[in-house]
Amino acid sequence: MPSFPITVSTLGLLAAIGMAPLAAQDADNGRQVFYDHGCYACHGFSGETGARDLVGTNSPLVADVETFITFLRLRADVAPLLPSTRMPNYPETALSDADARDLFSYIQTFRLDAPDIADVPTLQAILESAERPYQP
Amino acid sequence: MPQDKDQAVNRRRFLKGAATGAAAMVVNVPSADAQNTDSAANHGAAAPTASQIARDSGNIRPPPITRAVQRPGSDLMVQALKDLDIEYIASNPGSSFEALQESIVNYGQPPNERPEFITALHEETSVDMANGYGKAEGRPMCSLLHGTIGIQHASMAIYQAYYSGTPLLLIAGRDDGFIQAHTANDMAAMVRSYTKWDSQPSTLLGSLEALQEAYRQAITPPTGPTLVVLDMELQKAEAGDLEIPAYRPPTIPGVDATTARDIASKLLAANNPRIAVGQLRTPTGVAQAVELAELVGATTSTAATRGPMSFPERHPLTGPGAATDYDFTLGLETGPADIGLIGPRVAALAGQRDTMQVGFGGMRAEVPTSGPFGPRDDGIAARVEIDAEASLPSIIEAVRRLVTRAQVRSIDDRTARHAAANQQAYVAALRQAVEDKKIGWHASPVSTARIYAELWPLIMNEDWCLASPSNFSGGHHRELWEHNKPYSYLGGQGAAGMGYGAGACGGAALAAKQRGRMVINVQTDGDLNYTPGVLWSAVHHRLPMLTIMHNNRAWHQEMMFLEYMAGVRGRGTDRGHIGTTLRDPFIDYKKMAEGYGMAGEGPISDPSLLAAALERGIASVKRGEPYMIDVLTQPR
Repeated sequence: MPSFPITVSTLGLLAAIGMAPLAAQDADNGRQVFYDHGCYACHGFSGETGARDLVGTNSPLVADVETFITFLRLRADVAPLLPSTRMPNYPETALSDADARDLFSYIQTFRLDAPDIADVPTLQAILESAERPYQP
Repeated sequence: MPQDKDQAVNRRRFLKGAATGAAAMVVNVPSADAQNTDSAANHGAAAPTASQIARDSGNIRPPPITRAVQRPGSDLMVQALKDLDIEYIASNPGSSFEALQESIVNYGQPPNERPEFITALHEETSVDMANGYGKAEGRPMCSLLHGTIGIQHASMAIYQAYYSGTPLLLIAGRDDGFIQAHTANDMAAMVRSYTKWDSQPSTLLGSLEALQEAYRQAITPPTGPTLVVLDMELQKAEAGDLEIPAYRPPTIPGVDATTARDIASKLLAANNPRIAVGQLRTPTGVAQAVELAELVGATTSTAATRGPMSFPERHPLTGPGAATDYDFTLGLETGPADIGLIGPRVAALAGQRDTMQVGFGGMRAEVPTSGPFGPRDDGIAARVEIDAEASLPSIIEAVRRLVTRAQVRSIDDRTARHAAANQQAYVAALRQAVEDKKIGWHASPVSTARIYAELWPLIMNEDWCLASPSNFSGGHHRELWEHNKPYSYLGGQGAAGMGYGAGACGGAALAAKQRGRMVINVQTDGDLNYTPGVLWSAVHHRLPMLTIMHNNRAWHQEMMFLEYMAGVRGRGTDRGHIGTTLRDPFIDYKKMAEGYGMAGEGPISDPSLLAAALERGIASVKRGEPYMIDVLTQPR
């Protein structure tokens, strides 16, 4: 979760002033980056669990690679005194632009998996459980 | 710390007395050889004596033996615990309570079985067990600690129980004549800051009284752990004709009659009354809260999804109700409320108990915290410093006395409207929760939401207790399961310390065993590695406990902390796994369980295999065989 509000217009401006042309992106390398830099710790191995900003939420932060990389770099000064599980800063000294682009490319492979409840008996059973009479 | 110095037992004098008694017994029963010697010296080759003939003919009998101690003090200690209806004593063995342990297993005819001696593999586990039991039942079980070393092993679990306000009775053995490193002058001092009460009595009578007082203190608000140190000499002392004092239950003050009448009048006069229910102390208190809500037709809030002893989640009156224009709210250990009854908390004892001025942060009055010491009184207009549970009987009585027939009809109508609205609200919230939890349904490793989702249809018609903290596994039960029993969910660790979960589940399973209940343990991997020996205790004692590993192969919260810190400093975000992950090698929890004799399976990373594994696990637990399913999971 971001610790401060970022709007789409702000990101567009930042992207316009900060980013170099994109090189070819390697999703396979991005997968390794996703693992090595601990992205999965918050976002899950498929981007669907924990902090679910990577897939199915239409988050502007992953709308395009320039915005994404800007967001990674933007958080350097966010240093609260208390331990934080918020989105870390990923400076260029720790994560190169090339790796960040590969990471973005890998994130784009994520697909939302949310089956219809009607197709999953377990989920149906949960919903039906609410109709049972209360028993002390 | 009470001391009975006038009647103090002197170890040296006691042992000397016992030896003299034994010597006298020998003198009074002369041996056959001694008689022969006398006879030969005085009379030459005399005829064989009667004893010689008896010996030679094989009819000799050993002299009658009289035990030096006919009625051991430890027998009375056990009887005192039986009188208190202590169900279990968990411990690993120690010389400082060898006499007491012997009495626990041998006292009485047939030999004692209640309290049952529960074999733990670590004192921390034995106290975590007592913590889990106390949370589930609202009354103490006992843990036995071996001297200074046992108390120190147990200290972490005591600390957690204190923060939770769990009533439990600790006994430490003390033997000043054996290994000196295992004894101390003031044994309880090490944990005084986070126990409610302690005693190191110096007489047998004082020991019996101390056990009773420790029980009384543990269950009297503020509830918490208490500790009695029992000297070995007192455990082994001859009790003679000493009688066990009669136990006097505590008198816990509730609101006075005037306040009770005032609250009852306000509840009855309100058009839309509400009762905010926090954590009460016992199942009796929960039942009384239900009775009061039904009497006045008040909707309620509940803390049952966050911890034990609160209002049933699916009671028809639980929820916002048909309208939220509440014109009078009574708070029972929580707010917001117009009048809130808030009982004392153990944190208030810090000034009295923290004699070394350690200053534990969670007990500082000026520091706001969450959890049991947190601000339960948020939004309370008029706070009454009194135990809510003890106040309920007089409020109920006042309502019954004051309510009119017209009000009863109005209450019935209101209750029906609230019930319909609450049902509708619950169904809507559940549907939204299911929509949310189904995301990542087929993910591999398995999503934590799917673990809780798959479990619910399998246990919804069982009597179950979720005894493991769920804060690290997503807490998905809060939205998917129904928490209708005082023990449905036992809440967090207390002091947010690791190593608690498995032990607490073991204790909850002890409570469950005699009551046809099963315990669900969604077990984080980092936590289990502190005290895995509880798996053996669960098997040994046939505890109804299903363990599902939330195996994310890391201490993931700490990994996130480290990632964040590296990012702030602009370096090494690819090194956050160092010291925070459990890889190279991965831990095989199925083999761990097997090593302790527990049946199990896994690791499972394919979510489609989970439901069948859970069914096998539940069937095993129903057979009296605890079971472990190792599930490779998403991190959170």
